[in-house]
Amino acid sequence: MKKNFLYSTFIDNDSVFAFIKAILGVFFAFFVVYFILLATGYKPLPVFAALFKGAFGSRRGFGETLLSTTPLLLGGLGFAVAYRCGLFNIGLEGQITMGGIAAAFFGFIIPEINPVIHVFICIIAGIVAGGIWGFIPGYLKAKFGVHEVISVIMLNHIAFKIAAYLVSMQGPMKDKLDDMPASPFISDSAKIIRIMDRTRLHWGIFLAVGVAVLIWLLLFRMRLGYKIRAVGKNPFAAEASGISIKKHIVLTLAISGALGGLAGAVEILGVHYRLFAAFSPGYGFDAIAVALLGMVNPLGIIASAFLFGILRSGSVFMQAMYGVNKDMVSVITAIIVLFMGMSVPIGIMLKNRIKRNSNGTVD
Amino acid sequence: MMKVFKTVLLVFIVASVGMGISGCNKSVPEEAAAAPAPVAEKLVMAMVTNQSGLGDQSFNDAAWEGLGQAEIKYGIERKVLESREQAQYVPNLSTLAEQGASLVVGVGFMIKDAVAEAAEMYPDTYFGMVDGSVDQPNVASIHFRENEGAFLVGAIAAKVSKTGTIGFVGGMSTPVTNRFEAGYRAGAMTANPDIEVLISYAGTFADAAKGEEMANPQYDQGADVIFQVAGQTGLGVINAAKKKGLYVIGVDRDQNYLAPENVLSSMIKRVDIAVLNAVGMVVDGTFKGGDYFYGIKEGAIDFATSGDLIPADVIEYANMLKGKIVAGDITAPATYEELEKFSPPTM
Amino acid sequence: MAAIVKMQNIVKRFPGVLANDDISIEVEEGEILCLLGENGAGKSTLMNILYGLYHYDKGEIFIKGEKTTFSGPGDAIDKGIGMVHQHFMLVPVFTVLENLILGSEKVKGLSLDLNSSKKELEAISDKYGLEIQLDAQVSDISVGMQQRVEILKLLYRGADIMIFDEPTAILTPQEIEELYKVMQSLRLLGKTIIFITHKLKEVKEISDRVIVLRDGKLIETIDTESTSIRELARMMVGREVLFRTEKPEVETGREILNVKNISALNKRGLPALKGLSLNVHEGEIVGIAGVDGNGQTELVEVLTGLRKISSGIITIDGKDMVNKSSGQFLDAGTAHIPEDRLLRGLILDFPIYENLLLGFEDKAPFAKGLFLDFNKVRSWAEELVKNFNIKTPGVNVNAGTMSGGNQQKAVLAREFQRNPKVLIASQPTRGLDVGAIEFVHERIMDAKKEHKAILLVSLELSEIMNLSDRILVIYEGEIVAEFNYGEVTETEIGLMMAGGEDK
Repeated sequence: MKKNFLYSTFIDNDSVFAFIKAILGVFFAFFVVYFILLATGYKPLPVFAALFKGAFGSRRGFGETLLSTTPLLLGGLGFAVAYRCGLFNIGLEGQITMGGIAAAFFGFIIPEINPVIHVFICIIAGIVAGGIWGFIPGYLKAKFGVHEVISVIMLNHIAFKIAAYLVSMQGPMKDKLDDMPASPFISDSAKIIRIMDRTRLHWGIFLAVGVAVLIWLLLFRMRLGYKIRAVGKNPFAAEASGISIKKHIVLTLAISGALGGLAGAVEILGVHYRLFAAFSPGYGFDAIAVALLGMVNPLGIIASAFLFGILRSGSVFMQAMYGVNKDMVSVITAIIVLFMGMSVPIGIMLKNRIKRNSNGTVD
Repeated sequence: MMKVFKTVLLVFIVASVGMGISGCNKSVPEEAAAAPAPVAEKLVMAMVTNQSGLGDQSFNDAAWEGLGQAEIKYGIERKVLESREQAQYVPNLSTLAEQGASLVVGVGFMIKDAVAEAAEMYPDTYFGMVDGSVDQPNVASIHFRENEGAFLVGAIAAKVSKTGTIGFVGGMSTPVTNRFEAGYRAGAMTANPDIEVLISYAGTFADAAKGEEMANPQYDQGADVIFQVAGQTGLGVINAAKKKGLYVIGVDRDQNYLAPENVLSSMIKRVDIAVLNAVGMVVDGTFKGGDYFYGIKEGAIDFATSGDLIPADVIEYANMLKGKIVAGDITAPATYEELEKFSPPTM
Repeated sequence: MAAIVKMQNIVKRFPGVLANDDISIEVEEGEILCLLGENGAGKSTLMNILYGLYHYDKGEIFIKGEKTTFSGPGDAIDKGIGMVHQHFMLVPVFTVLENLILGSEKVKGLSLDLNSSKKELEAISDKYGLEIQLDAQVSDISVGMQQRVEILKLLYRGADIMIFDEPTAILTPQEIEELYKVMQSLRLLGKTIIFITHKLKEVKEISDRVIVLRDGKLIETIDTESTSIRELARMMVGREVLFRTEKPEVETGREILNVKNISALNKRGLPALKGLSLNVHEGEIVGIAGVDGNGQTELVEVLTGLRKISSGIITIDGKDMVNKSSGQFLDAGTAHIPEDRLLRGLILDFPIYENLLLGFEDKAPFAKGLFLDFNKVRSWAEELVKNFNIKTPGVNVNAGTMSGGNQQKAVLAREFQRNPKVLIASQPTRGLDVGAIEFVHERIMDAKKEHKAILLVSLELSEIMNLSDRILVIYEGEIVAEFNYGEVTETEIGLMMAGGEDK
């Protein structure tokens, strides 16, 4: 009886089990990293401590943690929306890039105006640009059956090349007064206001959390979200009940891309203040892991984006305190990401083990 | 189910015991090292690399070497944070400033915005900026007069050339590479007014194959010496020289070891000297923000003679030009405009 | 005859369910024993215990008089027990021969000794009359032959007690006949067969004895000879079952569905419908009889907006519906019970209330601006669950965890809720047990009473014969014959279904 109670509370309860899986994944990750650090001559525990000290130990560190949480959260939401519709949008990096380009353009082309209006214009520009970059693969899939993964990879490359061209020596968005391959700085009125003294943290984090709640409402409380999920879980049944598959594929990818564009815009307006070719260090790709670890649930994604934010900002401190070399830092974060991603298969394994021993389905 | 729990439990126990043991054993010396330097008063001087990181055999390594020399000369402690991506520049600089580094040097022009931002956030910390200008009282912006070095190797190339044609392969056409080109052409013109200089830019600093592709036509058109200012791409130029058995001139540091028979000379940029000087200013308490220019006069720009490929009279000639530049008799042009106006001095 | 298998006082508990409640059975050597019960009665659980797949909580098992405990199917196989599952365990890209020797390969030097295995296998299949092409690739052979391959695999591994888990569910009538023959010859040569089924006709046709299970309990063990289908049905369902649904007298009204000369391609791009015409009136049930694959699937898809037609006319209540979307068909008053409820009918990962909502999400009272009122949806769903007698712990349970019968009831509940003008019911009782079939038929009759126009497509000829007012026979994408209720025999229709007689 007790067994059944444990089972139904911890294993069968999806949200609790998701949490257990995530914790297990993180635990296994640290376990493996522990031995790698040991084998490569570092002292694991202080290095781990440094990771958290870096992420939480100072006002600035905490600010940086939340700062990198912001684009990861928005990107993760973008991936989740598409994933809920059965679409694999690995094009977020390109969508982020396009959003950044658009935001930067309206940021510097418009002179100082009312800051609220200016930021609003730039963010909308980013959303539209990212949305277009999501709409294209959606349209190609709906109209010609081109698999979104293929078209989106190509669109990524196109976006990267566009950004690189725009700020290259001869590029139209290049700041002619500066050696750097970058656009001119955006007007002050286009900058998102910082909220913590002596940190770079800006309002974007609240915007991102707000958007997460909005996406949660969209997916689980709104008609559109219900249809998106229906198409994602069983397009044939959805279609038979009058829900258009094609329309929702296009719409969902456009929303997904728009979220990427928003992430890019917020990065430019809140952090860099000008366009660089590679201003996003792969947030769009990390977003996939963020979304999956967050069980593609917007509220879970808030937590997992925060976790990834800790890794990003804490890893700087690992290097600073213990001289862990930058490639080693990459390896460590990659392993943690890998295991967090593996929490899903780990969960399945665990569930199956338990099932085989004490459970089965009634035929 | 019990079996699974037992296994998991076992793993937990092993892990926590393992962590505990090694934690106990190792935390003692560790804490000593981690605690803010009980030896005390040892100033920390730090640097943040660009995305190439340490081991680039170029100015990141050179700057790190400068800090190494400072350790010996001034008894400071050096520290480095390597950047993996553009977004890390600010956190890296800030972390070092926050940890109490007296000087934080940013290397490479891409880090410029970040240095400006960190310098504003930490007004009590001194910053160095290699290859870029940041207008702030606590930032020393370090510039190199590459045009002077290029002038010298241009003269050497023109003197050594038997065909009367020499070449120049740049990475991307940027104000910096253009500065090299201007100096190079002026130097060549000075040594031989009839010299023909072939110019091409590969469009990338990172593609060795492209470098070879750029160099070969120049050699085929009769150039027998090429000056490469092209980073990774330049390695392809050196390769082409090796295959053709012709001369090439290296950049930033002595590249003779790459092809001892073919690397005629190299234009040397002593980032280490500039960094050492910056440390010196901090130690002496004479640090002042502003632009610092390093050229031949400061001993930070030179040409390499290893490999013994340059005839003695040419070395003598180049040294004579060096003297004139130091004395201010010759000003090596740094831009196309200055090159236009440049006329070879009569000697 | 001695009991070759004895299972005593077996108890097996799943969370919340007592799947086997103190069940004792004996299987005699050389007999065909039927294990009869509705879905969820505990038949497969009991056999999975015998095959070593599940542990049991209480009880004892004796094989050939020897007390045995299994820790897995491997032990069961060693004891000579084999099981043919509903889903075959074959590697599609391997040949039959390679599949058969997989796991017990004979090796000669470094290479496989295929020849000696092949000879051995040929000898076995000859002995039992199993027609198998050993060199064919599994993906190329028919489902029936794949099943025979599974049987041969058991024989090759020396099984003498063979469990068949609902083996006829996936077979055509001809293949079922062949399977019966194989089973007979297996029995003649001394094998013992346990046959799991919920189809009464099969029990009568093939078995020597029947064990009836209901709700995890043993109801009866009986010789097949001494019982009737009606009695078996009563034991299985627990009450009297009406085999012929009362057909209400309803006056037919105006024409609702009108289809004229429609042509359409199937998903492979080949012509599936060739100038087909039909109509259905208010209060009328029109049955489409035919052998599977003669255009029924495409016809239903065309009539629900899921497939485009290349020519022809479709109207619903006078409204032109040619190549309209599935949503427009719903709006025009169609309801659709899809032939494959798992594919088209339900979203298995969605809870019941979200499944019932499908197609209503944009309608009052659930749609509120951009939002959905899920509280309303839930209470409405609870009501439907009650009205349609859907057995589930609650409306938050995922549809995928329900039994087939309850899933079908959920589909029915939703589709009837549309208050359609025309109901397109495609194989509405496929895979259901007697009780559920009766329920579905009654609901269809209710719809008729409510003056709905009903198009019934089914592969079960008896279903068509019992329910339809008019019967249309479809053959190669055309309607080749039309009969009125009661004016035709099964044989006549069967002839037409096979392409008709030469005139």
